[in-house]
Amino acid sequence: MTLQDKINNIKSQFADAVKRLSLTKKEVSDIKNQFLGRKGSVAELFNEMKNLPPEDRSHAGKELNILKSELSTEIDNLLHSTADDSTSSPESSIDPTLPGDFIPVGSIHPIEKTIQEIKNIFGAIGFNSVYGPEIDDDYHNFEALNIPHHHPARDMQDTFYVADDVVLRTHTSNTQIHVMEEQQPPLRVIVPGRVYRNEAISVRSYCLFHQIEGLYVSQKVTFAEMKGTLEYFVKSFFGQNVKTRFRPSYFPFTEPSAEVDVSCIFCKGSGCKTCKQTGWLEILGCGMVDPDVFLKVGYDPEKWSGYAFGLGIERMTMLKYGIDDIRLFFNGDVRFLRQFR
Amino acid sequence: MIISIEWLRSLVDFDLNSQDLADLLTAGGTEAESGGESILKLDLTPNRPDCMSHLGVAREVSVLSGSKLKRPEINLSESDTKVDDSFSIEIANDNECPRYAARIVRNIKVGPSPDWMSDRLEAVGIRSINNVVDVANYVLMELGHPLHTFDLNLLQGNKIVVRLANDGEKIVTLDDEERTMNKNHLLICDGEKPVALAGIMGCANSEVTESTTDILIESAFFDPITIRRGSKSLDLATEASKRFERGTDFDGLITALDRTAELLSELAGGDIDRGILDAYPNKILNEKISLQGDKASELIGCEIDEKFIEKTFAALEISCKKTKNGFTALPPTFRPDLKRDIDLIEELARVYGYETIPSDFQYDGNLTGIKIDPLKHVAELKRFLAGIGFNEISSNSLMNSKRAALFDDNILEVQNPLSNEMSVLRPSLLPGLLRSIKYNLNRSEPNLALFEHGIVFAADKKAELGRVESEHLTGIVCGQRNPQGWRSGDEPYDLFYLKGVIESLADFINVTLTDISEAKNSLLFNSEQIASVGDNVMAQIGAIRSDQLNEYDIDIPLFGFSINLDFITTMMAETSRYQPVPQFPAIVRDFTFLVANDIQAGEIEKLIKQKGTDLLTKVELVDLYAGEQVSSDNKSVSFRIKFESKERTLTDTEIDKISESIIQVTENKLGAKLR
Repeated sequence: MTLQDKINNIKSQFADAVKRLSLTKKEVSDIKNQFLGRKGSVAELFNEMKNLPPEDRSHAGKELNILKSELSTEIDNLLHSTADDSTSSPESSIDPTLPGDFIPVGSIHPIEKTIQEIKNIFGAIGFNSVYGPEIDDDYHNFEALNIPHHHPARDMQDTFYVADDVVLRTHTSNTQIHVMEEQQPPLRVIVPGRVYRNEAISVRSYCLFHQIEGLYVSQKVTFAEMKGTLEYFVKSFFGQNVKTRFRPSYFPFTEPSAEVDVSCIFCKGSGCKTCKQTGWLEILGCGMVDPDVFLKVGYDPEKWSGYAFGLGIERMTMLKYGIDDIRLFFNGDVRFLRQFR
Repeated sequence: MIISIEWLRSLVDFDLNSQDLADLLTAGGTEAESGGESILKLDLTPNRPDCMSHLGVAREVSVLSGSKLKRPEINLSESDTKVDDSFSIEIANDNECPRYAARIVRNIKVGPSPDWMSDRLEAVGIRSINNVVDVANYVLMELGHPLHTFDLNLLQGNKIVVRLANDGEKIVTLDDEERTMNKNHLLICDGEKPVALAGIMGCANSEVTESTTDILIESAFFDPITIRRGSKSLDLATEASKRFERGTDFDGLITALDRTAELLSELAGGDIDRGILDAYPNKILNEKISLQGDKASELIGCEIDEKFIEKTFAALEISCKKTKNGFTALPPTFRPDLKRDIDLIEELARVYGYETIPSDFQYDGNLTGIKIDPLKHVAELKRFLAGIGFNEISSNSLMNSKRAALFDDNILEVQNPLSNEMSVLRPSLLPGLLRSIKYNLNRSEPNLALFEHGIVFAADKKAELGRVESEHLTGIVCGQRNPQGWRSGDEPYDLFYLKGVIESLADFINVTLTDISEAKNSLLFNSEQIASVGDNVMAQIGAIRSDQLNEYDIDIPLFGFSINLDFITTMMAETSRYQPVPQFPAIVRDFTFLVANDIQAGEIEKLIKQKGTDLLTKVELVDLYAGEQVSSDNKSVSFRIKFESKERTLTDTEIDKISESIIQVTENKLGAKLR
């Protein structure tokens, strides 16, 4: 092939390349590279010049320079006339409305999410998370908590038995006793876990649920401190504008005991169906640890004082997300679970 | 318990509507709800039997509002007949019955009650029967002490004997039920026979009827535990038993007796015998309580001054004397819950008002006991699984025993189950997962990746409390991972997917799996594979057994995994040390072997690793092919092998040498040919 053939070849290839009307800037610059780049086809021909007999070289050089400037001019013109890249993509033949790749996203169970959140809130003020057995003896679940056999307080919790004096724990309070038996004060723990009640399953109740128990024992702990701590918790969990109300109640293992209500998060306290028109929602029980409980675990009640509290995770979660049927937590319906990422 | 506001108003002055009254009582610890303008509904805690009456609630209103309590006045006129001339009381078991008092009223006329009485009773949900029964109920609701009335002429032997029952003794109670006694039941008998089940219910044989003319009124104090045990064992709870088991007023019972006699003679026109039959062998003494001066303030966290203490105790009818460093207090006999100083402090706190106590939020900063949450790493693990598309579930720990038997032999049973469906504790997390899979399949959700973390149980006679609790994390997959993909084919949720999950998990926790291969005895799954790191099992994966699938009526294959939480969380807790980033470029070589169909990829990989020397850092199986391009009894397997050195740039020559030895050994041992 003569040099002229090669030049003609390049010219026709170039014409082909620029034939399409709607070239993008990127395509034009790719064409520029292909023909005029450092390793482009024109540069290749310049390279080949060294193989020509010396007498032919100056003519060839002239021809090649003409070719180069012709192509440069055309490319400059093209660059001026083409639109910005953004308006049309290099892969414009692909349908951009096709969906993205499906990447499955799983979910964390809402009860677990609530437990994590509460652990974080109490973790920030130095409460350790500890765990206790779900099956326990009567002593740890009842006796040591001031609930002897034949005490009317046993009616407050219907109990499952797996053997005489061996129960499915009715509350995480059993772990208070285990912790105090194993450790000396001061101590500050929360105990998340599963608890059981022999109650028929309905929208409002299930045969098991989750609780978080809290226990703080130190010197000169006051009821006022318990109030402050639980108010911090309520605000952290439900929001700064939620109000709390403490009212006297009864638990065999605390004295004085209190029930804590929060201003209804649905109606802001004005009264609705959820709060039975009272403006308040009951969320947790608490109280100063009863001196008899300290005696049972060998703590000196003259030296140590403290408070304990317990709250239902399902209830907190139902309030937080507006869930109206407790059974949803336990039937494993993915259409429910997928709402909790 | 229901309180009539009109009745309450007769016992204490207040200027509150029913809602405000409910709020006042609730703030004082007696949870009350307004039931319209005329009644309150109380939700009483078991420590406050004193509030199970209108007088008791009136006392609370008086304590909390400061207004005066108006006790009912009792004007009793007795006849000349002396009560103990004709009748006597014997207590055979004075631990169970510390006090038994009675009066006799003669010549009454049974008839309807006046409207004021039947109206009040009906307001609190009690049907009016006749003036005798109504009076006993009225005094119960007014003063809180249970009373019983006998037809005196049906009592034989002119005496009452209080004794424990004999095992097997039978009585017929007022509700016409025949009941069999055991030796813990306490009976009220006449000279011949039982006439009442003490503290719970009377017997039909001595019931007051239309023709009754003479009445014996019983007002007693029974041991709370005896009554509770009796009531529980017969599954019979009455207004009387509920009060006796919580503790009644052993002094106030005389007032209740007098009040009953007074109302009876007023409404039924009887004559009251002179005097009271009062068997009270050992006087019960209320213990004095000493309260240190500043203990209340210290525990509550704000100043509770002496004036407030004295005023509050007076309103609560706690008599108190100031001492050198505090008070000596004697609680009233109607408050069995007040025994210790802390009980008095609770009274002070609730009357002071929990809402008035300031909030204090400070911490001394002594965090020496801080420990890391043992479930910290489990939480990360859950996030990992959720991140690759698993949904966490939480399922019932109680299940059907027949089903449970398909998962383990040592099933722990519940003695008093709610139903057959919940009669045992789960031995595995698989049943809950299978149940959830079935639930979702029924709701057109065919593509599922689920896991649960929780406690499973096994019965074990030798273990503490006869059981073992273990913490598990188990998952199941079902269907397609990527059902809608337009760019790729099916990506099934199957055994190889789970193998990949376990391999990524190993990467995630920074361990190198040393083996993942078929188990010798598959216990948990079919075609079980065990992933191990050295001697530790990290996970088991496999297909769900068909007997289990059948039980849950599932007709598609499912695959599951179970991980060794102890091992994984231990590894996660370890800090892996930094490895220098490679300084020298790696060399990657692809090998495609043609081997007989029965040669396993794992065998080839093992040989590659053996011959790969220290320079080999990674072997990946990148292609597996059987089809037209190869003969039917062969397959082609491609591996990508990476060589790297920490010290130098590798040369092609040395890698060529290693490659050669790999090719040779696979050919010699497995008949593999390089393609």
